[in-house]
Amino acid sequence: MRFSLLKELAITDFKLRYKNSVLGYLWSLLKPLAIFGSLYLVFSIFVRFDVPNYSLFLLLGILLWNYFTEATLNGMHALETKSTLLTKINVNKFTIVLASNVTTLLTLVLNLAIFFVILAFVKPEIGWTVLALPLVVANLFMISLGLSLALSVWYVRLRDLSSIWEILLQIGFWVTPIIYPLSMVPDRFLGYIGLNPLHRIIHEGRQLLIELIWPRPSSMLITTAIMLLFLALGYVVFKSKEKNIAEEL
Amino acid sequence: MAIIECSNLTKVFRLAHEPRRSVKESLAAMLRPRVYEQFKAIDNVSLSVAPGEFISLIGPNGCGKSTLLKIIAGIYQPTSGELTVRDRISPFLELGVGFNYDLTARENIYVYGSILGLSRRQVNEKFDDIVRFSELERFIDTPLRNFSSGMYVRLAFATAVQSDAPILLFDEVLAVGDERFQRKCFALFEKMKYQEKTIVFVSHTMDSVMRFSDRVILMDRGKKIMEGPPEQVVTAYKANMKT
Repeated sequence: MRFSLLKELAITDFKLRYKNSVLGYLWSLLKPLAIFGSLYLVFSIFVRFDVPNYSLFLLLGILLWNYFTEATLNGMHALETKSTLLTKINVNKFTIVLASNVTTLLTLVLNLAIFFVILAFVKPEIGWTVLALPLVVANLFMISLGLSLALSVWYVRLRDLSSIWEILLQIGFWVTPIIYPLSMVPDRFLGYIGLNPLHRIIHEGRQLLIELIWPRPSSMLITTAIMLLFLALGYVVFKSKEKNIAEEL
Repeated sequence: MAIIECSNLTKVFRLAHEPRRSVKESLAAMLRPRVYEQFKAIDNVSLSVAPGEFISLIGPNGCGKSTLLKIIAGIYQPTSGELTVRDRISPFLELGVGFNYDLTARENIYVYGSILGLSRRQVNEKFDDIVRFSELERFIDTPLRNFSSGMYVRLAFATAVQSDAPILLFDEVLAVGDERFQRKCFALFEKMKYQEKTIVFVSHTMDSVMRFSDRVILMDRGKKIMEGPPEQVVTAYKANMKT
């Protein structure tokens, strides 16, 4: 039952997001592509990074980061945008936040498919490592969902959170090695970068899809454990607040 | 055994006189104590509903009927007291709450159905019934934004009543629609009574309260002040309203 609600909400949101727009879904690809295009211009022609397959390196980083941004922002607003529903029917609130993340996930899957098309042109080789991609996507999904859950209930009480989170995402974009390689980070900062969960995900994604090497199993295990922790914490926050949310909306 | 049981339910809303919705307001408010006004929307109400019973809640505006309904529906948490609901509930506190103006009637039926707890297959089975009941055959693929309010309500009601939950909560849903549509709704109520659904009904329309209720509860300022057979309670209420 809950699954049918999830499916219905996620697909409807996906349809609505691009209703009445000529290019429809293409927009969700064009946006990261535009960011990619301008950054690629600056960092491969004006300033040069010594990274093999820099275009793929950059594009994958942006697609994954872009998912994180959209999923958490949409997730944060999920309860508030459904306030008319939540104050009239006792629908499962977890499903609502989950559905908003699933909608964004659909976009990521489509974007990744296009990434593979580009990959086929730029560097037509692929390894068994691609089989571990679902794990990377699952990790990304878990941390985004965990944060969405916590943000969605906090946001109902504190509307500033929307601006605060946007600023944090902006900072996050620059402190995460998305446009620059890890090798450019001075040694004394490496420890901090290692703490960045998004870096772990993007780094592993790049290893699997572009460098075609397997990350150390222990490292992947730690990544998954961190993401599970985020999800669990988000869920606990959500559960502690969700009961009274209808009155706050 | 009662299917819905409320014992000593109390719901207190805190009316904040300066709501804190931003960091600035929160910081400013930290410096001085916050003033709340306590508002008892429901005051020590006990109530038990037997399976298959049709119960009406009546009373003047602001007496707590709708809040009580929201607590039974699980939307609000009671401040104190116990609530036991022994079966699935479908609340109709407002019609078409999940509707989206940019979707067609057909798409909305599926979304609303899923919100009410129906699977896609169940909606498929009932789809023709819904369309027939709403009399919107010609407009089924029209976006909802082009609907009149009457069409909107018909579609919402037709979808809502397909819910297979054994307990139904209605809040003033008959206040809409023309006479012919209301007659259809009444026929449906008869059918639901025949199917022995448990219904909690909030209304200001005393005719329909008298016609369907097994028992009527009169509320005022959050308290239950009278409970009994429809005729007796409605008469008392009407007499009370005149003074």
